[in-house]
Amino acid sequence: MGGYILKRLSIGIPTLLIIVTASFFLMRAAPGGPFDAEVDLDPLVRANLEASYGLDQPIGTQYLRFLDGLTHFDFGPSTTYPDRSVGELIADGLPVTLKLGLTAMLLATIIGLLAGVIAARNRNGVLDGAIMMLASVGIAVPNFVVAPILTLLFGITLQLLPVAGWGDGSLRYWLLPVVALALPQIAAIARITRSSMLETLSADYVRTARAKGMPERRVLWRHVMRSAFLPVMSYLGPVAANVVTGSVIVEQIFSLPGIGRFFVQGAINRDYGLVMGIVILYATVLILLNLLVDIAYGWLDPRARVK
Amino acid sequence: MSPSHSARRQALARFAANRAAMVGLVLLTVIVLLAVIVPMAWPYGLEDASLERALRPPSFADFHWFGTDANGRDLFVRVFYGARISLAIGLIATVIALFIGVAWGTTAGWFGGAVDMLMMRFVDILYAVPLLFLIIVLVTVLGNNIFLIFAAIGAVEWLTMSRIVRGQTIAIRNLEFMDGARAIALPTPRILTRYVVPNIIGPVVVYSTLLIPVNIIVESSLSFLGLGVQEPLTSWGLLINQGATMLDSASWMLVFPAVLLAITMLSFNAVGDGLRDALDPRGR
Repeated sequence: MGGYILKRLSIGIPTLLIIVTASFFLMRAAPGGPFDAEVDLDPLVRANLEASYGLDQPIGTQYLRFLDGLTHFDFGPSTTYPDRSVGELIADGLPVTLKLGLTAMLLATIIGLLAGVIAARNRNGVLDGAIMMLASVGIAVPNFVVAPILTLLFGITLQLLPVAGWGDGSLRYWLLPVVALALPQIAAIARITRSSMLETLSADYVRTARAKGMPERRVLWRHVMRSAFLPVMSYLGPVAANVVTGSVIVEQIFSLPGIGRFFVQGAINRDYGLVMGIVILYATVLILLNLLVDIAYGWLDPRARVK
Repeated sequence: MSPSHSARRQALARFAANRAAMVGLVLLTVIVLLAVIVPMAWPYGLEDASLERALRPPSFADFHWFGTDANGRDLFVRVFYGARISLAIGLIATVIALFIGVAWGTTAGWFGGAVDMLMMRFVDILYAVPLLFLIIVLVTVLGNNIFLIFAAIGAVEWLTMSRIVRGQTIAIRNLEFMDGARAIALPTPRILTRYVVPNIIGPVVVYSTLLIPVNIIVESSLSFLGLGVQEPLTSWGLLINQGATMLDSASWMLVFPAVLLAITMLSFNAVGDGLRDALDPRGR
């Protein structure tokens, strides 16, 4: 197990380093600097601004400085928000995004699993048909369509929930965003759960368990669920990636003060520091999450360790 | 009748028997036809604004079937003009992804060893970043040109394609007819294009049909965020964005493009699944 974890780590860390390097040079290669929006900027003022952000240094020096900063969580300054550092902005937005993302993932996993198990248990029945039809719609309809339609329904027509904003951060405000974020993932998880349950239900060892007279409930929990859960487990990595991407869109729609909004704002304003900081943060989180999923998988299924 | 011919016929029959796939195919055909015809034949143009006709709800009376937007522009023509852009971007980005993915995958799979390892590690690394992020970074770097959006989406969405193609290439690399090709000393690029690619094209076609809707959603997401297609052009994402800001006064501005996008996605998925089931007899 220790060797397996080490091997996973030896893939994750170089990946992260390459992503950091690539995003640094890509953003620097972009045409149009961060100060292009100011018309008729005096050359002297521009030179001073660039010097104060270290943009007049050779690119190699800038890169090394940037790497050095990263080692103590210093992502450098933001050019969109001159009085804040990227680290401060991220620290501001992270609680909102984390709350949103983690709740959505939890919701998606629980409801998706439940729906998938119910569908599999009622194979080809009415309930199965209904759940699978809803799942196809859920997979086909993206976040940015689900979110405004939910707002139209619950915020405007029924007047039950606020249309946008974070308010005091209470449930009323983040219920719709979480649901909008979770719905496509619920659909995907329900599908995977159903098909892996059906596959396990027809396995020889399940037939054996039934043949020796084991109670159905025990067959399900002891034999079916355990291995049916594995494909769902390995899908949690992509779910995390989708939730991260979705949160960028959902935060924009509901005007939530999370890091996703800073990311879009930064991209529009060519704010190198901000965009890179957020890409690196998300990449780190996703790589760590995938690592955890891999380790958990290896723990649950010893076959995975050998490969 | 040659065996491949009858296999193809069987696959076609299987596809025709799949009701969801056929419905999807019909819906897609209708949407594509409307996207071609409506902008040419409709009494209103894309940019025909008129303040006195602003925010009209849908009605059959004056050809504003889908209503009008805040500038009094007819939504019916805008939605189908948007369909042109969204479908075109989805299609072209998929073709770009197809070319890169097939070239990358056959090369890695054919040569194997260190070449394969390096090329596939590169794919693994890109996999670690959410694709929309990569595209946003690319669009930021390249600027907001519509052709660059095709390219950026295609340049990112080929990863899964290359994995599928590589697997297929490795599977057929050592078959006997490959030995034949090598024995007559064909140059490698010719073996790849004439012998390898035609034999792996099935799964590639299936995956491409499933990639088109993904790319349409990526384009729409970008346009929705203000990073994709810009006015005066329009696309489904941009229309949905404009509809989302007018929710309380003109819900039709959201509903029509959103429903059309959803129907298109469902149809592509149904056709893609139908093709997969028809071409892959193991799934029966």
